[in-house]
Amino acid sequence: MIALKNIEKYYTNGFQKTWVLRDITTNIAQGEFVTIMGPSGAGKSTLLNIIGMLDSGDKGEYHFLDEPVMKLREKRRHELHKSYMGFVFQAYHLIDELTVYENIETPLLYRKVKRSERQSMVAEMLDRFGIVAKKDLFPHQLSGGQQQLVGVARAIVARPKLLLADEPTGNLHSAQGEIIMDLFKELHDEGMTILQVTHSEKNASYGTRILEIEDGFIREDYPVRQGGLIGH
Amino acid sequence: MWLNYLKIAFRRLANNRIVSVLNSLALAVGLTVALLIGIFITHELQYDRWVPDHEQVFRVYRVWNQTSNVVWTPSPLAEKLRSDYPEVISASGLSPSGEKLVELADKQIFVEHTAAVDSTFFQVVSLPFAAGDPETALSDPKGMIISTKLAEIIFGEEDPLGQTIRLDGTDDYFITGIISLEGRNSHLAFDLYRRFEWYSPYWSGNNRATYVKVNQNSSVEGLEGKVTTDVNKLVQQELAGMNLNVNAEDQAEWRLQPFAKIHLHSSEYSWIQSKKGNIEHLYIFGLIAVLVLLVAIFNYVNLATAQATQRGREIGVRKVTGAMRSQLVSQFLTESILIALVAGVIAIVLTVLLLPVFNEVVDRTLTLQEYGLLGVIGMVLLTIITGLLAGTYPALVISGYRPVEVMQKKFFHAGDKGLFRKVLVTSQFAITITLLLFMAFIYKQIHFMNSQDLGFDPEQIITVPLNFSTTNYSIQNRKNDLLAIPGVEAASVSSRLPGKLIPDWTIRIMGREEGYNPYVIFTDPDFAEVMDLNVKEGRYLDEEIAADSVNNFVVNETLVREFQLDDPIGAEIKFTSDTVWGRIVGVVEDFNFHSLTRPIRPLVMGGGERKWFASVRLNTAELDQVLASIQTLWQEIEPTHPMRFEFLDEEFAALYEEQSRFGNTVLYSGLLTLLIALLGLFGLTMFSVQRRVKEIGIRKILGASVSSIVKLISLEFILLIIVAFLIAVPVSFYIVRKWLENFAYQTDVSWWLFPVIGLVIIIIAMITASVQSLRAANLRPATTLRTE
Repeated sequence: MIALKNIEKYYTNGFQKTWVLRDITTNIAQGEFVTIMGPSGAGKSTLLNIIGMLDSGDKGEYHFLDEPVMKLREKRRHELHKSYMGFVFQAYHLIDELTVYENIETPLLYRKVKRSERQSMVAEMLDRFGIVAKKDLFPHQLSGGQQQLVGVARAIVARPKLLLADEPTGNLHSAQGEIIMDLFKELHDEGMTILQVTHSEKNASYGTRILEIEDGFIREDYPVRQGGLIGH
Repeated sequence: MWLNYLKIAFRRLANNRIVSVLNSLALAVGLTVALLIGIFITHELQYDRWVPDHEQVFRVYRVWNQTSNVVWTPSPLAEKLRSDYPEVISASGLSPSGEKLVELADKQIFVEHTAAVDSTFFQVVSLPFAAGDPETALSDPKGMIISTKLAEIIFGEEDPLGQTIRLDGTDDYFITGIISLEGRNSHLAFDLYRRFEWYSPYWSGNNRATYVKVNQNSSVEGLEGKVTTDVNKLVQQELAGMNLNVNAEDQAEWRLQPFAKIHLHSSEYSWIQSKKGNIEHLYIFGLIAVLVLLVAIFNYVNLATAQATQRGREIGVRKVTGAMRSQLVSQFLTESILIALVAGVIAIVLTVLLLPVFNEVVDRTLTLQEYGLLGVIGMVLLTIITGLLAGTYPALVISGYRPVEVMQKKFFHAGDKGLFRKVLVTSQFAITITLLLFMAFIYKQIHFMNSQDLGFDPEQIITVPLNFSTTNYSIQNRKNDLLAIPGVEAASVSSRLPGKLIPDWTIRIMGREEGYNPYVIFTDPDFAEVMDLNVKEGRYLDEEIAADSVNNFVVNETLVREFQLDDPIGAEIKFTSDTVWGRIVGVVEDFNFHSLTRPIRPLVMGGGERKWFASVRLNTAELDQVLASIQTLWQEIEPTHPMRFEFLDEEFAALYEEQSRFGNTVLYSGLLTLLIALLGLFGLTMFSVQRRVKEIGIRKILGASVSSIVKLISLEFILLIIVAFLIAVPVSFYIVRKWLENFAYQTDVSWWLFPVIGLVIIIIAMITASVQSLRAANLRPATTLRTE
C-alpha cells in the first residue's frame, strides 16, 4: 500500500542543511498496524505527515497504492488523501463551533455524500462509540476522552483505508487511552491499515509492527510478537 | 454544505461578539453612507429623464468667450427656430416670473415659483397634465396652468378647472390646466404658468429661455452651427443700425443643452432655478461614498485577517478532513456576506433614521419609497458585493494556510508580518484625515466669506420685494413717514440688490466704436446711504438734480479700470437702446454685489424707473417694534400684499448655502469615516493584546510599568496614523487648492490647521488604542502566563 524509497526531508538555514528525515525506505502493506516510535524530534510526526500527504519529502519516492505521490499534481494528491485517509490528533482538533454530530459529519460534506446517507453514516458512528446522547454537545462540553472518541469517529466516518494517528492518547488518562487503543485494535481487526506515532510501548503493543526512528533514520523495524509482548 | 457554512458563520458571530459587533457596525455605517449618497445620486440623475421625448428637447444657451454660459435668449428666437429650420418641430420661450400673490375669495397665498411661457410651451416640453389640454391651455391670454400641489392648497377637493383666481391683486386668470409631476422630479418645478405679457422684438436683448424640440436623428451640432451664424448676423445688423460695431470674437456661440442635463449641468449658468443640481458635487459625493465604504471594507479585511490567526486549527482540521481550498474560500465568503447582510439590515434602519437629517443637508425631499423594488434589489446587491470585497482577501489568505504549520500553535504570524494590514490601516486614516482637513477648509472658506468686508454694510438692513411697478412712487410719497419711525435711518428703492441676480446691459461710451457689458442697478439717491457706499470721486445721485433720475450715472472703480476711463467724471455713456447720452457723475468704491465666489465686475448705477426692491437701514435694539411700525405703514403703500421682508446680511449669507451644505456633507462623512476607522483600531489593538498576552505577562514580571506596556501596544498604530497624516497633508492640500479655485476670494490655506486636525485625530486614536492595552497591562501576569 505504501512504498517509501530514500525519502529525505531537510530545512535549509543559510548554507546549512538541517535533516529531519534521511534515507527512509520501507513498505507498509494493507492491513498492517504500524507504530512509529522514537525520541522527541526524531522526525516521527514529519514521517506521518508525509505519508498522510500533509507534508512532502524533499527527495526520494513515495508510492501510495502504486501512484507516485511526489510526482502527482496537487489536485490528485488531494483526492487520494481525501478518499483513503483518516487522521487522529493528539489534541483532538475538533472544530469548536460545531456540535459532535456536525464534527463527525464534516468529512462527509467535503466528500459530497448525500444527506440521507450522511445521516445514517454519522448515526452509525455515534452508535458504535456510544456517544448518541452527546451528539448535540459542543467539544468544550466533553471530556478529553470523549473528544478523542469524536476525533476517531470523524477520522473513520468516511471509511478510509488508512488511519493515521499522531499520539492519539497523549492527552488522555490511561483508562481513556485504553478505550481508544481498544478501538484501534477493533478497527485493525476489521481490516483497517493503521499508522500511529506514540511514545508509549503499551500502545505499540496493540500493533503488528514497530518502526523506530532516531535522528531521521529508521534504526529498527520489527514485528510485535503475538501475545502482546514486545521483543526482538 | 451551505447550511454547514451558514451554521458555523452564525455560531462564530455569536461566539465572537465584540468582533462581530465591530465588523457589522463598521460595515453598517459604511453602507449607510453609501446608501444615502446612492439614493441622492439616483434621485439627481432621474431629473427630467422620465419626461416623454426628452431626448428631442433642448434648451438654447449662449457661450461667451468659451467661458460663461448664459441661458437668456432674445424673444424672437423661438419664432425663428420654428419657421426657419426644418429639423425643429416646435420651440417656445420661458422665463421665471418670481413670486406672485394668488387670491381666491379670502385666501391669499404667495406662490414662490412661477413662470411665464409662450402658449406653445407644453407642445415642446411634454409635462404630464392631470387636467386640461396641453395644446390649447394657454390659447387664451388669461388662461393659467397650475401644479396639482398648488391646486390642492387653493381649491382642496374642488375641481379647479375653469375657476378664476386673481394675481397680484390686479389681473384675473382662469385655470385651464393642471400639471402633475406625480412625485417625479423636473427642473421645471414651477407651480404656476401663464403667458408672457410682453415681447421684445430686439435680437440684442436677451430676456427669456428658449426650449426647442427637434426631429429624431437630426444633427444637433448642425443646428447649433446654423443658429449661431444666422442669429449672430441678425444681432450684428441690429447693432449696426444703432451705430455699433461688434467684433466677431465678441459674439456668442449658440448651443443646445439636452433637456435631461439641465438640472445637473447648469451650476455655472446664470439662471434662476430652485434646487439646482451640481454634477461636480455629485462626483465628489460618489467618491466619498466609495471611500467610506472602502474604509469599512478595509476594517473587515483587517479584523478578519487578524482574527484568522486564531482559526489555524479549524482550517487545518478542515483541510485534513478533505476540504479543498475553494470550499474553504466559499466558507469564509459566506461568513463575510452574512456579516454584510447583518450590516445591511442595520444600514437600512440607520438610513431611515438619518434620512430627514440628510434631506436637510442636501436640500431635497428624498424618500425610500421612491425606489421600490429596484432599490431593494440594488441594496441587496450592494451588500453582497461589499461582503465579497471584504471577504475575498481574508478568505484567500486564510484558506492558503498549510495544516501542518498552523495546527500546533494557538496563534501564529501570517507570513507577511501584517504588512498588508498596516497598509490598510494607514489608508483608512489617510482617507479620514484628508476628508476632515478638506472639511475644515470648506468651513474656513465659508467663515471667510461671511466675515469679509464687502465694501458695503449689509447689517441691519431689511429688504422688501415690491409687487407693482408703481409701488416705487408710493414709497417716494411716504418716505418721510417711513423715516419718521424711530429706528429707521434711511430708506431706498432700487431695481436689484446686492446678492440678487443682477442683469448686464450693453452700454456705449462716447467716442468708442465697441459696446461694453457692465452690470446695472437702478437706484434712487438714498441707495448709497442705505448701503453705506463710499463715494471715491464726484458724488452719488442727487434728488435736486433732474438729470440724475434720468441719464446721469454712478459707476464703480472696476468699471473705470476695466473700461479704461482716464477721466471718468463727465465721461458720456448711454445704454444702446437710449437715444440721449448721459454722464458719469460719480465713482463709488468697489463693493461685492455678487457672492464672493465671483470677482467684482464693472457696475453702472442709474436713476431709471424700474425699481423692484425697497431697502431700509435700521438702527435699533427694539427690532420687533420698528418692524411692526414699518408693517403698519406698508399696508398703505401696498394694500394688496402683506409685507415680506428679509435681512440683507442673512440673504447674503444664504448665497453660501450650497457650500455650507457641501461642507456639512463632507463633515458628516468625515466623522463617520473616523468612527469606522476607530472601530477597526479598537479591534486590532484587541487582537494585538491577545496575541501578546504572554509577552506582556513576562514584561510585567521583569518590571515593566503600565504606561510602558500601553506604549508598546499603541505605538505601532500611532506610527501608522502619523504616516497616514503625512500622506493626507499633500493630498488634502491639493484638493483644497483645487476647490478654492471656485472662489474669486479665497481664504488662506493656513498651515496650522493641518497639525491641529492631525493632532486631534492622533489623540482620539491614542485613546481608542489605550482602552485595550490598558486592560492588558493591568492583567495579573500569573493568570496570563498560566494558560500557556
